[in-house]
Amino acid sequence: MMLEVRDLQISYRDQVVASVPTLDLEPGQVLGIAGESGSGKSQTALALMGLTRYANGVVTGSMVLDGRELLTLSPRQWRLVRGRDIAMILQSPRAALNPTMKLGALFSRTLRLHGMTKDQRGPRMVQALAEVVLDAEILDRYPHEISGGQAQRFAIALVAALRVKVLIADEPTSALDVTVQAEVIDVLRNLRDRHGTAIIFISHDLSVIGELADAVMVMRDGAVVEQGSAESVFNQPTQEYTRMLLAAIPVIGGRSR
Amino acid sequence: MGVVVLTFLIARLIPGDPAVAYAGPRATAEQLAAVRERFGLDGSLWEQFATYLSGVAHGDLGISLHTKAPVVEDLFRVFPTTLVLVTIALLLAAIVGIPLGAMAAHSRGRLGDLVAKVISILMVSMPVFWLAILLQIIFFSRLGWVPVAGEYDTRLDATSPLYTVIGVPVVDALLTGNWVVFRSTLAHLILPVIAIAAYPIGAVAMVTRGTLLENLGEEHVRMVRALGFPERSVFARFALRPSLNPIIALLALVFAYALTNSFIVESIFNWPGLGNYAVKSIQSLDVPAILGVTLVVALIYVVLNLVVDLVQAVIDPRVR
Repeated sequence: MMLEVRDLQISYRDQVVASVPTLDLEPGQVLGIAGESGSGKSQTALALMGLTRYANGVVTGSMVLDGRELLTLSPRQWRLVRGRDIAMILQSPRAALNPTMKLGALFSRTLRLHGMTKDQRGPRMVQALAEVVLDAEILDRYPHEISGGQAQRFAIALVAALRVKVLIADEPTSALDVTVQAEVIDVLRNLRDRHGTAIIFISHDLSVIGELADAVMVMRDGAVVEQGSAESVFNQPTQEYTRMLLAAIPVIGGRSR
Repeated sequence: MGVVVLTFLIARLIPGDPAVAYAGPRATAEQLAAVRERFGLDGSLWEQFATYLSGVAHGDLGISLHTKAPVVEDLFRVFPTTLVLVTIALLLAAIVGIPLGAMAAHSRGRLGDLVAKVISILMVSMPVFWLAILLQIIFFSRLGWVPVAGEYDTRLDATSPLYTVIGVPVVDALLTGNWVVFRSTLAHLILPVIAIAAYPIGAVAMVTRGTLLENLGEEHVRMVRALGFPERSVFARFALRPSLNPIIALLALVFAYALTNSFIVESIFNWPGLGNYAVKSIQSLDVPAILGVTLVVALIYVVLNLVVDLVQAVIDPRVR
């Protein structure tokens, strides 16, 4: 198992906001985490990135990536995990890019941060942009000059260029309209197929998760209520709550599943 | 134009007769009439205003009653001196205030934040006249570290004469390589600069803290943290840069405030600048000089606004 999470518990001021008993991930696997807002899915994502500390959150339990315990890492060691082993894309793709920086500058700085020489960076950027179907001229743009879909694909290109093992996608399509959503999901699928990147795909929308996920975890009020392969969760949900979420998926023709 | 009308009316409608102020309390009626004629104080208010306005249009702001020189000449002499003083004070405000605010944001809710907050509040709440006198008492009277008045030690003129380039000793000394006088001008600058910079430092620190914290909560900061950037560059490059525009707007605002404060500070430190000139003009009901000073200050506001717009466009591409 590449990533093994056990008894993960995230709390703020002694109040537990999310607990995840088990979460396993293999290379190239897509795990969907579903749940309404406040269910603890985004907090789980932050904990997996080691970012809860910046909001004064406390994480206990165990998170092992390739045999290495992450929870005991120092801030300096965490920095070397982020952007090399694990990366994240966010819900509002344009707000996630620094407004005062051209995309190329951000891209180049990020690759330099992770040890790439100038000669390596150029070709790597162009290649990664091609993988997400973006023209290299976008590097000369500012975030406010591109669309939300382009911004999200750019963020995925960053992740592709970094060759991370795990990508955490926190509601990556929720702020986009439906046709753009489909583009982004295609790009994510392509990322997994090409580089074997494992993806944790977080969404409140089970139909989007169904497009991509091999395994599904349903969360509510900070707890995991259902967990299993995508097939079993979609076809034989054991929990009333999961059935409710599934019933919320609109089906063409008006019949619900 | 609006400024001209308003200040002209206010200056002329305040009680007190400039001619009496000029000619002295024991002047005869003939002398007063002569003074009135010479300075265009005879005739109705509207005639006086029309005369003044046509002068302004030709770059003539009249003759000052208390220096007896053309106001334009006076302004060219005193304004650069003040500009140097206020500019140095504001540079200091940026250099000290921005890091102070950044430190506060970095240690939010902890000791560093509290220290920065106390310093900022002290800085913005100390009345400038009180601070100026306090500085004089401590650093001149008690410690004797720095000089207390004027632009430089004029006794140095005997040994290393200062050549005039633009008329501001500190700049002239620098440009002509007169290091003896330059050192003296710097020593004379310290106290007035601190007195003027105090409020801007506090204000800049507070605004920097606020906008930085706002930006630190943005998704773009979470993103660069997620990409593995160290906190140092998260702060210095990714969070600070989008925070700079409100800080620059504030600097322009406090520039105007500092200019007003220079009226008091220059009087206390006997600094031969615009503020000192303005105070003396007001004391002698010197209408042309008061109007001239007001026009210059109004002009600065306009220029400053333009500069702010340009700088903001350079710093933040969203403004363009």
